[in-house]
Amino acid sequence: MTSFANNAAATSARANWRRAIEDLWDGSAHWWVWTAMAWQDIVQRYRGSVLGPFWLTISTGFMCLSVGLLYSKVLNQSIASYLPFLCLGMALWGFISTVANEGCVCFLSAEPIIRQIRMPFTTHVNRTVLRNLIVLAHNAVVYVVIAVYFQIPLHPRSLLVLPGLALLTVNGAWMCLLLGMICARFRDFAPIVGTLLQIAFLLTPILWTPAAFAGWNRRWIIDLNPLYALIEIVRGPLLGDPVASLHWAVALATTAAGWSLTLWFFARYRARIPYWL
Amino acid sequence: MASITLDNVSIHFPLFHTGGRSLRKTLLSVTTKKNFASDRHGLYVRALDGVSLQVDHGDRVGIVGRNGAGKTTLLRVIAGIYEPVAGRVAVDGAVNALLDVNLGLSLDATGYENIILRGLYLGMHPSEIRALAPGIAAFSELGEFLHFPARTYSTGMFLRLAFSIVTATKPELLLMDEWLMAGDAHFLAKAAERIDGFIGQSKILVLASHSLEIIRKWCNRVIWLEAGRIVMAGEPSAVLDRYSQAT
Repeated sequence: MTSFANNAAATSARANWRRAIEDLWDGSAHWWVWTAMAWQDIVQRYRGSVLGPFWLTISTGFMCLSVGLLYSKVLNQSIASYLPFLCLGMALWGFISTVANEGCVCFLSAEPIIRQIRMPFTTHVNRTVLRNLIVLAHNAVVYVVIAVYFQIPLHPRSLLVLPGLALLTVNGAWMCLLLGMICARFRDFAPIVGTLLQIAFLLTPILWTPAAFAGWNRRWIIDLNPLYALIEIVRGPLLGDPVASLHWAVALATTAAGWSLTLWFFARYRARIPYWL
Repeated sequence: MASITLDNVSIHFPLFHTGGRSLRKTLLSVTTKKNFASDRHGLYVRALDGVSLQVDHGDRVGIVGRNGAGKTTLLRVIAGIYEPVAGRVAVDGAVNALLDVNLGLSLDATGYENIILRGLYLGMHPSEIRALAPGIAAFSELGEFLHFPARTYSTGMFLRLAFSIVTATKPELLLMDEWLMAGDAHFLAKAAERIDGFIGQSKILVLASHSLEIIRKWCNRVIWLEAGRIVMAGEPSAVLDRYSQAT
């Protein structure tokens, strides 16, 4: 039988860093643990339901269609360009906001397991991120239907969606880990995250297109939004738009900054997580 | 070779969600226990305070003490759940622990799914735990119930499932909390047989219990905890006699 080793001591910062890195490594190396957990979450959520997770597809489809038909008039855009833009934006925003919101409880909700069995903390993070990737995949079906209907052509540069998705996922992971730790310690933090996300939703080009702000001299307010960059590196390639290198730069900078902060936090407070639950 | 080494281990639980200073004063003045303390970070409980322990292969250690003495915390430290705020812990060998009756398992998942999940939680590969699953299912005697969600189980059934899973994974160190004694007589006899087999293989058993009879039967060493400190450790007869007199 294998089990995760227990050699703990109240020691140096260096040892804390080593254990944090080991946790990340062990958590990811035992991928079958969190893939099974994430799958179990999905199965459980829709147990007894006829359509199962495809309810997500249907509700996303109706949402995009109804909002798309109305807002394309409000924003004076052709439905053929607005609907695919909206659909991708909503699906990707759904991923980011749910990872952040569920990230807040990724350790709190795993309390019975954490207080029972030693396992890498990143297992719970990976489980949360993967669960939401599965949800995203169900929502992506709506986009496929729309793309076929409007005959959106595939460019060679559409392949950039793959690194885009990878970068988005990696960013989802640090958000989940960082928020999970902070919310385990400070129980008031989760509602704050929820509120900030609602504001961010309206400030990020999801319902509206940034083209409307073309001549604005404070356009950087929109362009430097990390959430915009993370959405655009996936949405842009699929829509066949060339993604500005600025978006890639902002996305990469967000990844570096986010993971640096999270790793520092994790190295320092990893061992405290069970005490906070 | 399995072993457990605890060197001057202390575990302090911070009390974050207990409100303002008035409660702190109340706790400090009212409590008769000596394990509340405070420092610049606030109030905390000294769940374990400078505990040193050496357990070698073949040892069956019983932990006795009143409620709140630190028995479960000590098991959790050995299981690697709490890393100490002071001191050092080194545990050699695969650990499996029965600490809570719910075992950290999912109430919505079926018994069979829970067998698989628990194996995965321990870091086993799906193929390993799937190979063990039929044996676990048979030992638990849950039959058709293994296809029902765990929330339909009685405490006794949950216990049978939990015990079957934990002991079937062949741990080198088995940690058990006292609730084990909640099973019916038939299952307890089976459990005792399995534990005897386990002991026969010179593995380490650490058992926290209020039942001195069980401790006497299974353990060759006893630790008496009081307010997070070891009051006495040694031969079962000597420690248990003193413990019975004191309580």
